[in-house]
Amino acid sequence: MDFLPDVFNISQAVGQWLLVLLVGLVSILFITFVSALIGGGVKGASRYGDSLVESLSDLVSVSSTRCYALAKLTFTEAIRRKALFVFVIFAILFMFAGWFISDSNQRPKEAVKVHVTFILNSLSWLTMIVMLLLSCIGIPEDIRLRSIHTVVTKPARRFEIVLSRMLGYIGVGTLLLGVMSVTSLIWIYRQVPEAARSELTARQPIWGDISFLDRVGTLTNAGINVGDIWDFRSYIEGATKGRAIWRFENVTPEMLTTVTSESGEKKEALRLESRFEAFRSHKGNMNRGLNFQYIILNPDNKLEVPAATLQVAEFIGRTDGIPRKLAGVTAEDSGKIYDLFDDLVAKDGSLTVAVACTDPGQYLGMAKPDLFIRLPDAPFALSFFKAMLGIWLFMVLTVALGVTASTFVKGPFAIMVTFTFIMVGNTAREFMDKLLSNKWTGGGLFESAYRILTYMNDTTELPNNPGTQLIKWVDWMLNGFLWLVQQILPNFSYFNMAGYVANGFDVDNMRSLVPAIVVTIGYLIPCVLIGYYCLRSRELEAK
Amino acid sequence: MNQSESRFRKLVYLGFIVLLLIPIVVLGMPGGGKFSTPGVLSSMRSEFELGESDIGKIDPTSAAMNMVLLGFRGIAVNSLWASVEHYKNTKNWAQMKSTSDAIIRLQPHFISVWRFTSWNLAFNVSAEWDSVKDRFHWVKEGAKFLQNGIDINAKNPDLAWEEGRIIGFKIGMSDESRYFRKYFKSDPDVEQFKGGPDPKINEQALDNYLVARDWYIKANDRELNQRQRILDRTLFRSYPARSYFDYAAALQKDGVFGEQTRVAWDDAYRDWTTKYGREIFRVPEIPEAEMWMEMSEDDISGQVKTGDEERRLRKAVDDYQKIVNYRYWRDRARCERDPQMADAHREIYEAQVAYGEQRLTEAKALVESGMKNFGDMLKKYPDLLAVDDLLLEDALTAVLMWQYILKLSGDTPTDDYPLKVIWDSQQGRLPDVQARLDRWLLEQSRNPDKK
Repeated sequence: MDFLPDVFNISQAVGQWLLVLLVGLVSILFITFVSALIGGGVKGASRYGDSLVESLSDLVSVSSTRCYALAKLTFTEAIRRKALFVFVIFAILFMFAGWFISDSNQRPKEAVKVHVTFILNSLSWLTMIVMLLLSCIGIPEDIRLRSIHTVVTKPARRFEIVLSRMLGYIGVGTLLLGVMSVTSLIWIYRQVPEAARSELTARQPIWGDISFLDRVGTLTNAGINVGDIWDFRSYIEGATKGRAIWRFENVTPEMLTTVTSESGEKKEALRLESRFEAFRSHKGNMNRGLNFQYIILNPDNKLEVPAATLQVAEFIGRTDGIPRKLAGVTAEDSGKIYDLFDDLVAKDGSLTVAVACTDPGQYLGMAKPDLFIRLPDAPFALSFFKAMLGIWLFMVLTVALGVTASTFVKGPFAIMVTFTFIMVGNTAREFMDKLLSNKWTGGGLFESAYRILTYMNDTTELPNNPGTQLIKWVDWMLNGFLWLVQQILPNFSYFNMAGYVANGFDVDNMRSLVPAIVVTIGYLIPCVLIGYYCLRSRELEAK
Repeated sequence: MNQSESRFRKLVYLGFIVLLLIPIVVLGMPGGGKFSTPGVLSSMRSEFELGESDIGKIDPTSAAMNMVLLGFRGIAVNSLWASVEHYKNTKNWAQMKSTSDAIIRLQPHFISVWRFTSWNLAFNVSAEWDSVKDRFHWVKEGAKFLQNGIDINAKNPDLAWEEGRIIGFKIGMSDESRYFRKYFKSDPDVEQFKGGPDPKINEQALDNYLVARDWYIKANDRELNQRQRILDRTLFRSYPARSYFDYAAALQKDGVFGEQTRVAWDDAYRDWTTKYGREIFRVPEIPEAEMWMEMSEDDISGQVKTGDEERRLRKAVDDYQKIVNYRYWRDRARCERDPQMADAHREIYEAQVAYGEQRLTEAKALVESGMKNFGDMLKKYPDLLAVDDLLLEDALTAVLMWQYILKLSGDTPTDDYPLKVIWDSQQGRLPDVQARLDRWLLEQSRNPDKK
């Protein structure tokens, strides 16, 4: 797997979210109060207080019956608006998808990757577009047709209207996704070539932490950079003391799995799966891949036991069983048998595995997700439905954003606002992160333009004059605005779990699923509140 | 604005739409109907053979995608190109290939896209893999990808030439050529191809250079009707014959000697001198005359009327012969098809093998006989030495081998031996030749079955 997000720190995220919410709320209350005071004096302040009390009363006296009735109405309305026509597009997509993505030359892993990615991405975007259109035009259409009066004149509160709209559309989206996800799963099982079906699985990995030793055995943060444009992996040099060292925590005998050796013999072993990358500085022996060695280390007693010497299976990966009993090979411990758990697992329950490249002059590239303990696999359907849950959460967020936008602008503008929000969040986040963290040299918008026009290299210092000072100041201001945008935009990457499923991994709960749920809730609450206040302050007579 | 004004305005718009429709219908009316005559655009499309069916095989998927995208094809293609680059940089090969396929469905007649992507797969992606089998898989991917382009662009000569280059040059001349050439006839995916070749690129289990030759011939056939945009025409059309040379040289490199190799050189010679050498070119240096490579003095005189024309034609023949290295290949093939030269190569190669297996007496006899035959042939074709680095290196390898054998046997080299002149004059090349020979001997010792 070529990505592995960091574990999501829920308490920190919730704390930050509460702080932002509090600051936002206090700021809004303060500004609105001051406006009311300036506009209407003491009477204005009094009206403001009444209005505040009324709002709080709206929020606390939500009726589930009314919400249900309104949500049902929204659901029916969406169906009448031909929301289910999306099934036609979906059917067409499935009927002809094989033309585009099937390739008889594809290797099993590639076939699975292409099919699964196609399905999950298609479903994600298809649902997003349908729900975006529905959620953004609902309230504006009600206002335009004045049908909203029949609702607001009844004892339904505006908070309930916003909430119910969201719930109704979420109901429609759930129906659509429910049908499409089951159909998709069946389609994948049928469409993926028979030889590739064994790749439809959900690996249960135990990830470790990685560190490196350089060629003389000194601990470093990273290995060698071989000039690869993609800095995901760093490399160790062959036949030196260079090592990549993984430390797995809480390793217990329950993690042993039955593996079948090349001779067909079945035995209990700790399964390690690796995906290293080879880099040859000379041709070497082309008959075989580069060799690497697993060495099990016990830091408590400095014991080192070589476990196996194997060949790299680049871009494909290999699974190997480390037997429980390992033989010592050095002169001192020759003939001695070590037990993996009794002798090599440290007292704190951690297992340390070092990887060495044994070919002189050649290099092995490794990153944290390139080695893991593979527990027995879960069914593919499990990870598939987890990814569908991610798409569902994305749909919920789209609906929340769409309904909120539709409470303060008309339908087409609401669509544009929400679509831009989602597109920028999906496509420009990485760009913003790099720009704001100063990973990119060359400055911001105006400095880059200046450098382009004057053919100036991005590493050359700008001349010190008032013009360049102004450029830097304007860029600083723009970057400040960009920072604000970055803070407001949700991190949509949590919702896209296709990478796990396509690579045959179970979706990581703490790295993807929980963050997606937390982010959705984190945006849903302010969206409902903003939507409510916007609708409350909106002049419903204006079309 | 009242309602009648609005209606009137709409009617005026409708009138304009109908008015504009008339020239569109007149210009664009399709032909082939029972009563209608084709529109101007339709007639021109037929005349210049620009219709989909005229250009090549119609791909319904591609047509459907282009229709669905309306005018947004450019945006979609740009976005897909960005994705391809991203997938390539992050080594997501499966997605990269499928995205490349999507691009090509949107731009099926954009020749540069076919050329770029096939090169990308066969050369760049292939080189990223460590296993030679995997590398071969991606070379095949590039070749197969291009075959689609050749079908869809049935008149284009460039793509057929590119296919020849992948199958001839990439498979035959890369670092992994020893393995690639073997895999070309016996695919490493035994499960799928049962030890035979991948029929999509080598249906008849031929040598890669012979298959490349077929593609070059196809390119030449197409080139007669549509201009190629890759090389000077004299060079472009030389490739079928050049493939024969490459085939014969590769047989020698693989250690195949005797009649098969001699015949290959003989075929190459005849193809070069009687087919390619007789092919007529019109060159800008002397547009009023026909030129071919194998022109004799009489041929030149017969083509021109004045002395100036004769001088220009003679110069043109000389220049173009130099461009395609015509005389060198002709002499080389003439020399190599001689049984004595074939014996020389065989004996030197067998001496290397015998040396590797420590059969020193046999090795010595073989290398000395090989050196003698080699020396005799070089006396017969002295011009070759001036231009042929490979022959010089072969000669140096023979002497070096001889010295290795003598050293191991405890004998002292004599001062008087064949190829001495070359040995003395080419000392600068020795380190490279020695390194190559040592590596070859090392590989032989690792893989004794490779002889």
